[in-house]
Amino acid sequence: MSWRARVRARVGDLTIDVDLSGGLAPLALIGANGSGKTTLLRVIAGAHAPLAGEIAVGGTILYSDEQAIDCPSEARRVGYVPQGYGLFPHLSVLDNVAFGLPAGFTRVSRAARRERARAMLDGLECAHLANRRPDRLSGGERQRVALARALVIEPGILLLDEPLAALDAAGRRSVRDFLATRLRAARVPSLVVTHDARDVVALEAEVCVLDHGRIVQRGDVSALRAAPASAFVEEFVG
Amino acid sequence: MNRACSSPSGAHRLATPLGPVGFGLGAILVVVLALPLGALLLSASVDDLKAGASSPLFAPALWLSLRTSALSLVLTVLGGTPLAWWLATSTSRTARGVELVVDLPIVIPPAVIGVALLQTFGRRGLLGPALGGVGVSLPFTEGAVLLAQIVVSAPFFVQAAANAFRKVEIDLMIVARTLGASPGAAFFRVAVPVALPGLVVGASLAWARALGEFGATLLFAGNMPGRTQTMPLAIVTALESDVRVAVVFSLVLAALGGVLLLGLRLLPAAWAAFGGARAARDAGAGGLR
Repeated sequence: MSWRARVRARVGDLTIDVDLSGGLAPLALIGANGSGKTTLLRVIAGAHAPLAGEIAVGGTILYSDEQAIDCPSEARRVGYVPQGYGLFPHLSVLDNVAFGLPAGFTRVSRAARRERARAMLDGLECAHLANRRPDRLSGGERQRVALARALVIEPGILLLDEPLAALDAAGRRSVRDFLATRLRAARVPSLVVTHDARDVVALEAEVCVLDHGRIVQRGDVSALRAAPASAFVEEFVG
Repeated sequence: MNRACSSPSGAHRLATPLGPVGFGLGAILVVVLALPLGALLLSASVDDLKAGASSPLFAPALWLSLRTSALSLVLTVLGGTPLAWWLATSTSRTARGVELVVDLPIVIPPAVIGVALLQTFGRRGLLGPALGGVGVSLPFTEGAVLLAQIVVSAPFFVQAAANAFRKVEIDLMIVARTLGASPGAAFFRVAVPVALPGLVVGASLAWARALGEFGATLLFAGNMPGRTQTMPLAIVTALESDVRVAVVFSLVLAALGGVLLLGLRLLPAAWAAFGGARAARDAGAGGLR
């Protein structure tokens, strides 16, 4: 299980030019506001078209300008969890999770679809939330549901945009530990945007520092601490 | 506890920032808005209602109004929904220009729109000769009624729909796509349901505006009983002969508007209840395993 994103993209005023790759271990993406973290995730998810490069996940090429491949979002099998989790407000938790499963046209297939969504919720210890609306969930519950929804399509990579930012300090630690455990258990590569060094430590992630769309440093927390490439990195690990 | 610091529990502290004067002005406005409708309601007796309903103008005008306003609403929603989505999501200058053009009929008096329609589709209008060449003459037909209604009412729908679509977070659409939805599926399964309350409000405003259309219809379609005479026009015609009949016609139109408004207010709750019922049904199905 490996992935690589070597892309150049232009979105608004921002130019992104990166060459990132990883395996099963989570890769944490850090950087100041406007450095292109979210944009990079969206490029990998297929929401923004790159200018050039190649995106490959688990041996499948999702984008390649040389081979003229540009897989549409719906065919990329990329689990995208945006900032704030992006749960569909008009659907119950169960229907949110079932959204990515093929629609059932018979009673049996519809039941099987619900069953699969329910099992996924069960695995993330939130089966009891199945019939709730997203607006009746706590931040931690939302994160679990969003994770269940992204994992149910059996993605080749998980893209998590500030998965812990919406939580208050009290609940944050347990949710962080839960996320770290789940990411290891899911055996899916992940790219996690964060602004908290404790997240990086808990996830046992390698860190990639993005600045104005470019990678300025990569390494584990101790390496970053030993030789921070910028004042931003110094403050992040400090 | 100091008594001077206590306040009535539950009362909103910001409720009356303008004091009794503001409250009085607001109350006067409520009376001005409600009194005429009350007077209208009180001025008709049961006998009047019978007389009005049996007027030869009544049934054809009501049927024409319902028919044309419903069709104009369908056409408005069909064209207005994709247009509103484009206006809501495009950042181009063209979109801002188009939005301005679409909004124009809201601020232009309906009579002006009637004249403009005549200058477009009339015999000597911009498109009149071309249409006449293929045997089509639009003015003073039911098609003219329809067109006048669409021009004056569609902007209300497009504006409300665009505002509703603007509130649909882009991340929701990106997530839907990554979960396997095609662009069209993401639109119908996420954008439309999320924006639905706004879409319904816009459609209701447009329908009410089309139902009440008067000025543009009078100039472009005329006031021909049984052919182009809608309810608002029938009121004017009835007023010339029998005030009571005009009152009854007015009551019917007011009642339609009232029902519409009530539906608008109740719809969000009904929608939530429907969603809740669905969730409960799913729970029941899950409980069988």
